[in-house]
Amino acid sequence: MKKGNWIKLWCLLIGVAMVMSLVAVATADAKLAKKRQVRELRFVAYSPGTHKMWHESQKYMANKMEELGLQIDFRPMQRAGVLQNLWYSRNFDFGTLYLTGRPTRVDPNMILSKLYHSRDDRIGGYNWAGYHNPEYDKAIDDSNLYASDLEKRKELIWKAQAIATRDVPIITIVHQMMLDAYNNKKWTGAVSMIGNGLKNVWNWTSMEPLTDDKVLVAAYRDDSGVLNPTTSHESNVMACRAVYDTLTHVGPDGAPKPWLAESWTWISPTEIEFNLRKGHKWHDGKPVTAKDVKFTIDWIKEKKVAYHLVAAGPIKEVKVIDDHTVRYILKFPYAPLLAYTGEQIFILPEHIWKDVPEKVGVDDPIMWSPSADGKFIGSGFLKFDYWRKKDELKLVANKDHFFAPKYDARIFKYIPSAEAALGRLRKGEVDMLIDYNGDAMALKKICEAEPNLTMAMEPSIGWYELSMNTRRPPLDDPIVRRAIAAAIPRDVIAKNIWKGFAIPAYSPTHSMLKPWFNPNVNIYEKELGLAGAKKILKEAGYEWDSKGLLYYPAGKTNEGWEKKK
Amino acid sequence: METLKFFGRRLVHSIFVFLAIVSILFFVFRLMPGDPTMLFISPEMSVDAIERIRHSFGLDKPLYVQYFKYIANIFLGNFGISYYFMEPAAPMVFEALKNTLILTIPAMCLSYLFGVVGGTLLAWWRGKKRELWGMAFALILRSAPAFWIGLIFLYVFAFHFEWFPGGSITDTGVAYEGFWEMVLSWDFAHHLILPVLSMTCYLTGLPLLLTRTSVLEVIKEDYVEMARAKGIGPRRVMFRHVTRTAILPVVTAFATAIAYAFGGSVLIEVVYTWPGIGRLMVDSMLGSDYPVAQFAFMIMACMMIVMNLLADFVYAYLDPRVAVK
Repeated sequence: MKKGNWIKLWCLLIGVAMVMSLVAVATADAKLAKKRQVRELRFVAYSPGTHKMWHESQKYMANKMEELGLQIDFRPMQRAGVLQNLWYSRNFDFGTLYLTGRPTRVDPNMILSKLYHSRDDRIGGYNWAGYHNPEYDKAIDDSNLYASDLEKRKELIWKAQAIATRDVPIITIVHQMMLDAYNNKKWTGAVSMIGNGLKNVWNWTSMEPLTDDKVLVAAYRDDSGVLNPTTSHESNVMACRAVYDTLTHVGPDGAPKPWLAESWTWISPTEIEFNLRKGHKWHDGKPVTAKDVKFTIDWIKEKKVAYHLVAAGPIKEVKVIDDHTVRYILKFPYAPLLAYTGEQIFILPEHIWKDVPEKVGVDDPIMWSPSADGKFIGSGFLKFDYWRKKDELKLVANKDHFFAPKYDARIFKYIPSAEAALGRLRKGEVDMLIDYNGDAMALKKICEAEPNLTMAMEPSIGWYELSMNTRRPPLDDPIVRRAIAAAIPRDVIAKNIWKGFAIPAYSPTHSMLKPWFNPNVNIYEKELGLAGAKKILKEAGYEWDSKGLLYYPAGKTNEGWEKKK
Repeated sequence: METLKFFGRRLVHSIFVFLAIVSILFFVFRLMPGDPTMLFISPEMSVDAIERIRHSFGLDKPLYVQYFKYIANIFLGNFGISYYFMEPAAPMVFEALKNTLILTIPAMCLSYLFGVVGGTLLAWWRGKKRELWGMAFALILRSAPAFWIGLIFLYVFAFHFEWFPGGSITDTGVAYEGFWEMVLSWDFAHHLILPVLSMTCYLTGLPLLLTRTSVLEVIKEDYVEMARAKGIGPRRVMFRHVTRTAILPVVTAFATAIAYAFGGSVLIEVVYTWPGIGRLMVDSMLGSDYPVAQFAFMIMACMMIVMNLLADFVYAYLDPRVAVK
């Protein structure tokens, strides 16, 4: 053949090959009808300004999901916007929030209920994933009945964790480190509590001054807001825990310890008798009696004080036996009673709160500012002195308290700038930083460089989580959720993005909470990994097109997803 | 008579502007994402508890009802209760305002003083080598962000040299009888210096460059040439004849700037932990504390309007060429 003809032949062959491959690709995509393509999913995230490390973690998670073939509409916004989407408009596929460490969350029931129980699928509830599993609800509800049979309760708590991590409507990503720091040349006796760090009553009643300066100055970011024991903001609760007593307080190891109640006896699974401390007084001199305890519970129920109502819920009746003995009669056995109800409810002075809200000029107890009327009076280890808003709050030691502090006063100094707080700690203007939320690495470096500064790190009992809106396809399919969980390596997030200032949260229950933590929960990123994720999707009938985008199995589409709220 | 009519017209006009502003404030805050009930919601609450809270705040009523109540309350002098502090919003805002003014007014006066003198000098040095250095310095000052200046000063003078405290309005744990007792104490002055210095540096840029431009314009005028021709010395020409005219735009700027002084500088206030109105405004906005946010912005708007009115009159007085038609 002539040379020209060979060239023409080769061009023809290449042309045919190209056309054929195009046709193959086109037909392959045609088989995957457009309507089977998984829709773009809305990821409601935190903006970098709200929380830099969490924002990066979320971007990383979104990237991982894209590797699976999902299209992500990533929406960073302020916390208020996130709550709006999660609670009110329910406009999200992936949402995220976090819980801070609080002593009331140490009992495993609180967190396990909040995330996964069907009754918490509501405005203000944390089950925005919309997970409804009667088997789970029963496991958790039943676990509360075994107040004395620890083995049986543990079995059910482990079961709940197993179900939650098997169906994975919510992935708990990391337990963040609670960061605190203090000047060790001026103060000693710091006590750390599981899941809470130095932010606990045991610490405040054991810290001791080493110099003549007997006023403990601790820096906080946010002002307390109204000082009222019926209001729930975190900063206000910290002040109330010092000014008011509760019957019990969860100890540093997680078990409830006596506080206002010196001891207790279970008379029956639904009746408990508390012996209160004798000779204890309110800050205005009047005696603390069992009548105040009865009044507190009755008043909370009568006025429907939202913040304490759930904790008081299981109590049917309170009986005053004598001045220092009081009985709770429960509606049903309730295992979290001492660690939750006992820890949560501030015992209020009847002689002040019987007038609230009617005689103090407000409609609801949460709208009253007791400190403005000189009535911020409790029986706790600190007494109210003064409050300069957005500047400082001073509480003085109650030397008559059964756990009286070894210092004279404690000042909450409100410093919104983390850099300024750090500088002032170093300079000696403040003695402690509590719940530091600035650059953790900077804090660590400074504490290592200065021998007079000690840093305390404690993984929070709370966590940061990724919720999937299980009401909407494709997230209503547990296989898709498992695949997403398998694609997100939590240890990488903890090590590389949080730089070690967080630990992976494989179970919603804190890994150091014994005996409640279940070590046998599903960890899909280890069991399956990305390859395994794609495998289980394939086995379920999901497919990918030439661009790598995910398609539903035959017969399923996105139809009707907007109506699912 | 002419002046009176002018004054009357401007006053009525200002009232309408004020009403428009407070209405916009009302709607803007409610359109922003977030809800004051979020301040009170904790996972431990039930749905009807949340509804009850909304009802207590009057947030469950239709928007137009809330709006009319709001406007009516303004005329009655009732500015609401802070959702975050549960105490009347107005005293809180005034307290923060006092703290802010004690910081911003000195800073502004100093910055305008330095600005006018510096600007005149720079114009005087036109064409000389000194002008280049002066201009470079002026531009750096003008473009540096407030919080950056604040942080640098804080780091250098408070944390490194330890000549000044690291923030706040007074030493920790010290109590004063009243506002004026605090203000006249050395403790307070010690805390005031760095923030005022930072703010002055930040603010000087504008009057400085403005004065310089204005002076350069005025120098070209015929009457200045006439004055020189008459034999009046260059210094007297500059400071008596030129400055008086050149200062007019700066006066207007100063009047408007005073109004901004009422808003504080939230960045300086955060860096120096100053309990001023800037921080109060931002925090209340982010926390959906409507009454405080509304009242704080309202005060600022009022001041703006009043200052603009004043600026108009001062201008007319300083420059008789501005005929009141």
